[in-house]
Amino acid sequence: MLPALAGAAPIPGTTTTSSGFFRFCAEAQIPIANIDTAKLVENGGEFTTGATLYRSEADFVSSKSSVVTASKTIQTTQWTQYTDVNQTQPKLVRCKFRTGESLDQGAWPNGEGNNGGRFDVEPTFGFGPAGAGLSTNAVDQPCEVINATTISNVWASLSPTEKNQALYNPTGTATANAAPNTLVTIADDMKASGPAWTPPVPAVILNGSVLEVQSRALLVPSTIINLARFLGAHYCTLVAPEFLKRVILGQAAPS
Amino acid sequence: MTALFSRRSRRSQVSRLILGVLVAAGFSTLTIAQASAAPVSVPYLCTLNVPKLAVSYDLGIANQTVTASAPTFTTAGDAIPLTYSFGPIASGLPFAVPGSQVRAEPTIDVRQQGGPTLFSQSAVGAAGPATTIAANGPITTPPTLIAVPTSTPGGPVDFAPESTVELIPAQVVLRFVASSDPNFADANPANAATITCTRQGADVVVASSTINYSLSTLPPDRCVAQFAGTTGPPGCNSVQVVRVAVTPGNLSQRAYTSGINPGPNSIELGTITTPVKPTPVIGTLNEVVVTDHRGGTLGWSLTATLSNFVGSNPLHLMGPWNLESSPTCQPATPATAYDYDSPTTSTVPGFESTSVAPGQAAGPSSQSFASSVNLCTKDTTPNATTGSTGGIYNITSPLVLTVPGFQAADVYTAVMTVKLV
Repeated sequence: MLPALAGAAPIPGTTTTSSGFFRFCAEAQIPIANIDTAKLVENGGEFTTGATLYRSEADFVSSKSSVVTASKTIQTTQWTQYTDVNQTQPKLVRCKFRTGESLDQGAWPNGEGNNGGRFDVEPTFGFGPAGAGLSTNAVDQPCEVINATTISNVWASLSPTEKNQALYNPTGTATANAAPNTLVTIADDMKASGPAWTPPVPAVILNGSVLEVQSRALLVPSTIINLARFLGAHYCTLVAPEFLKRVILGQAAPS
Repeated sequence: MTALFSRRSRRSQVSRLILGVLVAAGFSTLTIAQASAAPVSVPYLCTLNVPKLAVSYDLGIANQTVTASAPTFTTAGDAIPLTYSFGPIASGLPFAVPGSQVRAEPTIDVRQQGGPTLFSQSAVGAAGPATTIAANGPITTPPTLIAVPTSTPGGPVDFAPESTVELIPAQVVLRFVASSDPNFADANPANAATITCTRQGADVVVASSTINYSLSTLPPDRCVAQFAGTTGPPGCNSVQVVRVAVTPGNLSQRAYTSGINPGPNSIELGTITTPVKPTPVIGTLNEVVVTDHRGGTLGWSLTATLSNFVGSNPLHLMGPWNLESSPTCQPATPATAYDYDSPTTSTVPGFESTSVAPGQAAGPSSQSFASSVNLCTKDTTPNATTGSTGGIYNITSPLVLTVPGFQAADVYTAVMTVKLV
């Protein structure tokens, strides 16, 4: 379990604004892969994190994270699960990231197949030597850090009244309706393959009086033996800030 | 330039030509009478691109509504005014986008009926009014007018009259031109958010228009002459040399029976009792018709000479000087223009007296046949129109024979020779 308020990554605190919706996975890529933010364009560097979002879950399943060497972009993919049929209330965000260790790797071996159709990607694991140092640590952070940041962001967004109304409390101090440390992240539920990662998964789980936020994760470093298009991938399922807030305030049941 | 020609017969084309003119005459009506614009469901792959956020949003493949209308007929050379509407399309966004103005930038494929795509045509539509696009709400754009050329100088295509132009949706870009959300709009259109929708699957014809003739597209005034001419426009000239050979005719004379004469070659002076003093008897020269169609500027003269009058008794004689002539010589009229080829007084059909050359002159009156008698002389004055001295002329003359007193009774004959030269 991570400290609920530890860390401060620029993870969007909302997915119902343009920046938050479109950039959720793109921003989450940065802490996941330990990206040296000094190398990002916004800090005077050359690299960018981007995203291709999919409306269709099936299309998202077919997609893969990738890099675009020409524009020096780490390209994540993203799909949002909603609680309503009109798709206006996000519940869960699935992200396909690149692993940090893959970013300085080169092209796929010759003859490797691509994903097919519009899901084809540039056939390279990373940026090659140009990506050296882009990741400051070859060991990715767990998906849990993103959920932890989301908890922090959501809790910080609550008004004092809302905090007193909250049913779950990520802090070590009791609130009016919640005992301390009743909103926590738990270690990633690691899966070994895409088919195991894809099925529906709860965004949050109520364990007694504690609301647990767990990510189903998939980590496939570029160094293992597998088809090239599957390598260098790090998948996370992440609670949507809006859904977490509604559960905290008792407006939605944990699920 | 690719030229597409109808395979129909020329006759069929002429028929259509007439139709086309009629249609052109009723153009204002036709522009209102658009082809039906029933909505068509077409599969599209749509992607929302937000350059400012370095992201794209694959909205997936879904059927979108396309409504298009074009005139049933379009005049050749004119653009087909295709009215094209796309969507509405669901934004797929879990948030509203206020103050948004979106325009359509459609591209359609153009082909001749049943053929391959010949070219594509794009247009930029007007932006709709500023509105709030609700969460996952529809994005609408005003209809776009696409002017589809039917004739492009230098290419890529000329659609021939009678051909049907088919219009197939290809791609539509919905571009945010304004938005209260700064991530969607930008002063530079290239940085604005767009939804690019690309048609999937087989071609779907959403509108068509048949090409008509029009006066403006009739063949241009290009005129080429094949020989010795000039080349237009305007018009051209060729030359045909009109040649006719007018070969010389004859100068001729024919006599026609006059008065009591028994025939054209006989003159009857009657009977007289031997007088006691010189006594005249009167007869008539058979009318001589001179026809001159030699075609030149040649004069002529008509003269007569006479032998002695000799009785049955060769000793009974009268000298030719006893006969006198007072000739007349007139240009022929349609009534007197006797046809030389006819032995009777048949006139030349269509004869025009104005074509007869002047300059004819009868000989003096009371000329004695003691010598050659001048009946008529024609000088070389030509007719002003024909340029020749030709014509038909009528020569007549009373003849007066003075029988001497106490002339021996007998039947006398003489031979008059009428000479034309």
